[in-house]
Amino acid sequence: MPQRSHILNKRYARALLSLAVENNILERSYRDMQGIYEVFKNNKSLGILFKSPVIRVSKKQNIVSQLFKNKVHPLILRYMLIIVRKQRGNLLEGISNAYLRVYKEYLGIEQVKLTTAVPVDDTVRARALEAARKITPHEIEFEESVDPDIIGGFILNLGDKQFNASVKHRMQRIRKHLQNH
Amino acid sequence: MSDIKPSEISAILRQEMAGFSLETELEETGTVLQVGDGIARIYGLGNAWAGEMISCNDEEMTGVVLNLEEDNAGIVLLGEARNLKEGDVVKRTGHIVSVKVGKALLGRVVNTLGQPIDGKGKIEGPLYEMPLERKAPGVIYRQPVNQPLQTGIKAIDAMIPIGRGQRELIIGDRQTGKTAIAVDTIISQRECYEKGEPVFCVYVAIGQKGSTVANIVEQLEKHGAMPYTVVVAASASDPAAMQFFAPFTGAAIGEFFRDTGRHALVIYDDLSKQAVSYREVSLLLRRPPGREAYPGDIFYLHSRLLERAARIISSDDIARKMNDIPDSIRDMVKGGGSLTALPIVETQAGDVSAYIPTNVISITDGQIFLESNLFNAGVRPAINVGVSVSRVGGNAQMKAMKKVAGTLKIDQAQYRELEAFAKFGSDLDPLTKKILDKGARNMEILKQGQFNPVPVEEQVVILYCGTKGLLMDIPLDKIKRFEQAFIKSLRETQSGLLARIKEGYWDEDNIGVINKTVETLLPGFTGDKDVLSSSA
Repeated sequence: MPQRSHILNKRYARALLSLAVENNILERSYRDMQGIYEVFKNNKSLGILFKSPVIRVSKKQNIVSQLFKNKVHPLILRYMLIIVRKQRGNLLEGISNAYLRVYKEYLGIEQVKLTTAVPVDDTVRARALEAARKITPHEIEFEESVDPDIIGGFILNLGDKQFNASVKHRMQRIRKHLQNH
Repeated sequence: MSDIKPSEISAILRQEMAGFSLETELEETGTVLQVGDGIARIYGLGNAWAGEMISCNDEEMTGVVLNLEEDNAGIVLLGEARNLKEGDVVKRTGHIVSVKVGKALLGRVVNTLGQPIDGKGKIEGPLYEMPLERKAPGVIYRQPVNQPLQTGIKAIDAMIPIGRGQRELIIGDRQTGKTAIAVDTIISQRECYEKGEPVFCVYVAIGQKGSTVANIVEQLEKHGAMPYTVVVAASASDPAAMQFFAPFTGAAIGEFFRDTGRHALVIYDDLSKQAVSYREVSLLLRRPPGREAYPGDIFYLHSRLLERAARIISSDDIARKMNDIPDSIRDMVKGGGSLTALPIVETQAGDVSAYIPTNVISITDGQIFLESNLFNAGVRPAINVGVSVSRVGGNAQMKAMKKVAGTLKIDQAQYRELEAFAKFGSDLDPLTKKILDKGARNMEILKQGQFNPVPVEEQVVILYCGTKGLLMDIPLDKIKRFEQAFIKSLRETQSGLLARIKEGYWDEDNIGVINKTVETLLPGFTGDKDVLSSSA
């Protein structure tokens, strides 16, 4: 049930966030969780391991300790051990991802993504940032991606808003227009 | 071909592109988390409204927001779900679900979104946007039902009269002639259409076979009913969401006529199938199931739909202030219109105490109950007079009809009771025998073929003969032939009388003429003589 785990991820992430705020390790926790997310994203077998009911909990805890000890804040490590003990190890990837979102939400950071057909230079980047600042009052985390499929132009995403000025989209609109009129 | 100049081509292209702007607007988007079974879960869409249309895949397909949850929105897809995949971006449209309605829809077959599916090309002419979900008119914008809606079916017009603006349920098992009654009612409105006072009809087919819908359209065409009829079809192969929205499309089309001061009739065939598709969508959206696994708001689904059938107050000034008028028709609003609804519900083995039938019975202003054993016994339309009622139609019934048929219902109920008794074969006293004889003759009069609506004035005269017992000497098997001969003779010699009755006059003179006509015809039918030769 994907949507159920979706809710769960967010709950676990929020719990960690309030703990991080209490212990003043907000930034450290963000870096750690980002690292954890990367690890799980790049090693799918790790997720499968935690999902497996055959492997004993103590073994799973051992693996977590060995992997992350001295690499993450002790509090985060304890948090991960609790999750594994409660048989939710398979959610670690989702929780770490949800944490990144919850963290940005907490600090009021808006994710801005610029999609273009070819890589952009600094002047375009600066103009895109400027345009994004006009739309949102929040702090901005900038991300770029290249997608030749859009042919030309650009797509600017801010949270759940979108400014679609791609050639592909315009051509589709022209097609719609010709069909309907 | 060589004399076409490139400049001409570009001029034509420019003309075609007139009104197209490349201006890009800020759109609100969401990403698809999960798709399946015609449902999609969307992350994002922070400001979406419940009931808003969502465009997916660059406007290739639309969806409707039904669930707004803590961190996702549940939408139903009105189209093929296979084109949508996880991670796709969907957009808000800022419109709630609506259809484009206008007189140009008449004679057409459309789907739930108002798009033509009859292969007759685009719908040309002015169209107005009407929302599918709209609040019913408030109390002050209504008036009581006071005008009859002639179904052309003797048993209904005489005993279960339907008024314009009424909601009358047609209920019965499969194969009892529910759709036949609805189609006959549409065909019967041809007279009004030809007189220039049309009752526009909307037939909504929900979850039926494509072939059945095609058949009905063909019959309507054959009987000249399509020029004032719109067919909304959501066949069994359409997505469940299309099926459960279809009656709302029908209501929106009907409302266009209702609010512009005209009369309309909408038939929902049938609401039990609609309830099933709503249940399907609700369960997929993980709404908690209730009785018979229907969601908790299934009653509200039907009550808000049927509440939109109304008789609008005749004052234009008050009608113009009506609640929730769509902007598109605001300056066309007139009073005095009506929307009559004939919902159809199918029962299983005559069980009216199932969930959906009881719900819809309690919502409507009466029901026409059809029975399969009557149908099999040759009583067609197979209406069970005892349990069929019309709670408001009586006020709208024509005066002449009221006088003639006033006692018919009680007479027939009494007959039914005694008939069961008489089956024991004991000796009967003369009074009982008389009731039985008269009842049997009335039953014979009330039988009527399909696609054969009877004008109200002809109904009045033949029912008069029946209720007054003028036909007691005619053998049962000759009643039908007498009726034909009688109506034929009246049409030929007394057309003035029929016209007067139609206008509502019913006096001693009329009665005298009818009595005399019956007397002259009677000898040809009482004996064993060859009837056809003597009546011709």
